[in-house]
Amino acid sequence: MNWTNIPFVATALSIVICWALFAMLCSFINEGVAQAKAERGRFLKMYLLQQLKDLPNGVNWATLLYMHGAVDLLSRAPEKPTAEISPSLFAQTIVEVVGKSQVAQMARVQAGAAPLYKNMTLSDFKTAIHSLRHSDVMEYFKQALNDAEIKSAASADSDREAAIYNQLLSNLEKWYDELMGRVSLWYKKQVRQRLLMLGILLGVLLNIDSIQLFQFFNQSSTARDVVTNFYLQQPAALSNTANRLQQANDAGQTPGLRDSTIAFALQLDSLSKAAELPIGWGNRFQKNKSDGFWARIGSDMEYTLGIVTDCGDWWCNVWKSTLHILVKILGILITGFVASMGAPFWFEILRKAYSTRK
Amino acid sequence: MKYYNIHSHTFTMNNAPRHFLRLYLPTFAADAVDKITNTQVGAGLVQSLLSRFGGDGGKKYASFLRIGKSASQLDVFENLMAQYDDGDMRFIALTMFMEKCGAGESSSGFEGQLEELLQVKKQYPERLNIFLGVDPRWKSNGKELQQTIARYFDTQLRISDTQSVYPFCGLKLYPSTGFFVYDKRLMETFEWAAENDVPVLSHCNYLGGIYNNITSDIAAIMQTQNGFSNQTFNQGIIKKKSGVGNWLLGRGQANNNKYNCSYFLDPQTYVPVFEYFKNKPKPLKICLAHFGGNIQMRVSNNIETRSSYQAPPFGSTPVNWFDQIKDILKDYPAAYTDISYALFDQEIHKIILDKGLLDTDAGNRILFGTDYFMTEQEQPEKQTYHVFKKAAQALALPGSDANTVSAWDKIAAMNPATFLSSKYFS
Repeated sequence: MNWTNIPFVATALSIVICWALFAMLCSFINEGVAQAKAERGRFLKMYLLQQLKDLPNGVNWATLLYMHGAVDLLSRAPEKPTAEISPSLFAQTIVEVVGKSQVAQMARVQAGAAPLYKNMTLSDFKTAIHSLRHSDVMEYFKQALNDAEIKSAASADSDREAAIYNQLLSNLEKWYDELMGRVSLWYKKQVRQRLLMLGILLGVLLNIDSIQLFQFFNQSSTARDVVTNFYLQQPAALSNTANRLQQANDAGQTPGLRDSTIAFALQLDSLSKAAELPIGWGNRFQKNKSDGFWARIGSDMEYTLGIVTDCGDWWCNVWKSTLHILVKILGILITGFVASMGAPFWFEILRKAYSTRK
Repeated sequence: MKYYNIHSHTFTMNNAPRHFLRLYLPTFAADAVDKITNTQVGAGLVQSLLSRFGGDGGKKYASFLRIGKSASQLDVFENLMAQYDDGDMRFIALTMFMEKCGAGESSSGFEGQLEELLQVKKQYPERLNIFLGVDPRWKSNGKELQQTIARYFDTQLRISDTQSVYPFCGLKLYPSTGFFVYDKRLMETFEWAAENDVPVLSHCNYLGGIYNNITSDIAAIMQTQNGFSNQTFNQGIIKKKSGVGNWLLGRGQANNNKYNCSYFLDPQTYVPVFEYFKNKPKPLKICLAHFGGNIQMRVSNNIETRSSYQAPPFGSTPVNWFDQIKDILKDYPAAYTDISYALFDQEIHKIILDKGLLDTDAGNRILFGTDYFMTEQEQPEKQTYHVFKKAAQALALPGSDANTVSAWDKIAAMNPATFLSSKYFS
């Protein structure tokens, strides 16, 4: 027996399919907004500004990093910073901006000492970190340079400066990689929060109530079949799209996003009409076909929100109506939560469920 | 002839204190506007909404934020240059120490603000000159402050393998952020500046600009000892009752703080400093910026019709600030002023472009400036510049020889050249 045909299971799977498709729609929209706002670039810049702020010395090294031509030229517009700075670019640029900063040059002139290395970039950097005030950032730079000097001690004199410089860059790159790992996690967390808010917003705007959907699928085997068939025609394609979108949400751009989003939204609209899903306001449950738009909205809301007017007793009407409204709010919150889990999560559940059926 | 806009700003919100907007808007509105205007779309939306529904105040913030939210000081400076079709115009960018005005610390840090602008100077060494913001609270004591400033001035900025320039050519003060200009911690710095002909430009716009929003700090600052003379200026704290609207929006105390900070800008507080240097071998050049402000100019000349502005100013004397600064210009040959910000108000043009004012010794010490980008709140820089320039070019003044010079040449070229001249200025 195919256990997915058991009515309760079929209902559950139908709703999971809807959740997966809705989560994917939210991901498309989120990615579109993120690209338009250069969200990833801003996020990266925000955290670099936060981590490289050097209060004791009154300088934010990240600001100077972004002003450096090597990084600035990667941004598409002044208010859209680059979403990615490679570790090697970061390391080379930060060594240069620290060493060449005016505060460092002032300290060098004041110290009047001879250059510490033949290579001026390395010399300026070392002078800077030893002349400027103690801070978290300077402490880290000192550690990176000390480590580089120790590890390069065995190098031949002629190669030592190059070895120190390369090791210094390597140390800075490693630290940057670790930071980027954390930044990615923080960004994913922000994406989940955004998806939650977007899911709730779309749930309200489009009346996507998970509890109402569950009730609907429970009563309509035809709708279950339509939705299930939609999924089973293209499970791999849908899952792959969801995974690519998740990766784009977390890290990179998706080419042709606008067209893909529109195409997907149209697909969902067709599915919704074919399955006669209880989605949207004002177009289904009107009391009279001749009612105008606002009258239909009103009667739809009465139905959807379960506003009761004929209980016979005023308190009964208020109590039941309140209960229905609370259930409606819960249904939409569940919809929002669903979106925040991400489409790949729901597609993975579907893949496992359908792979076990005989 | 080289022309100078003696008063401009290039700092961005990155350089401003974290809660800068709370100095001017209720907290909830300031935070909302700050967040929404992080993108061009958001900034455009806010600008559109404020222009339609925000009245004059709303329109101001919208224009101001559009530039303030630029990615970097380079963008702001290039935007400024783009307003001028005159390739001979040079700009003086004034850095500002805003870390202690009760709005939090900046993201870039004050030294970071300087570093950023120095990067811009590397790209435009001929067109950009920089004044170093000075605040007695920047360093732990006056000696350290002076030594730090001297190091900044003397450490040349390497433009290329063959060219190095001095990075700064003047000092900028903004007393309403929380200090008196006669603070004794500034003594060593002023003496160094006088010795080296370094000019000082100080904000002096009645009730305009940035102010200290920490009430308890203001009370303490009022007690500051006059380091230059025995004169005291402790006027007592102003505590005006706020209207219901301001009370609801949480603006009552902020407005009182703004009024109290006007004491720190009081033109009379500069007199002890002028007096101190009057008989020294080298005077200290101090420009009292804004000439008191356009409102004070209008009131002095009886063209201000709004009754709310007619009240005597807060300060040590109830005398109009424009009139006070005119007297200071007459009494002290090293006193200067500029017409920045006030310039947007075309009705004050005839007050400035007056032979009776310009064809005097004091007229040799009036400087052209616009206060970009603060004036974007009132009208675009291009318009401010072009309208005033046209009017000033039309006024002929007697020159040093038999020829005449235009008021424009005097205010925008000759006077600034005198004010700026020092070994640090090229």
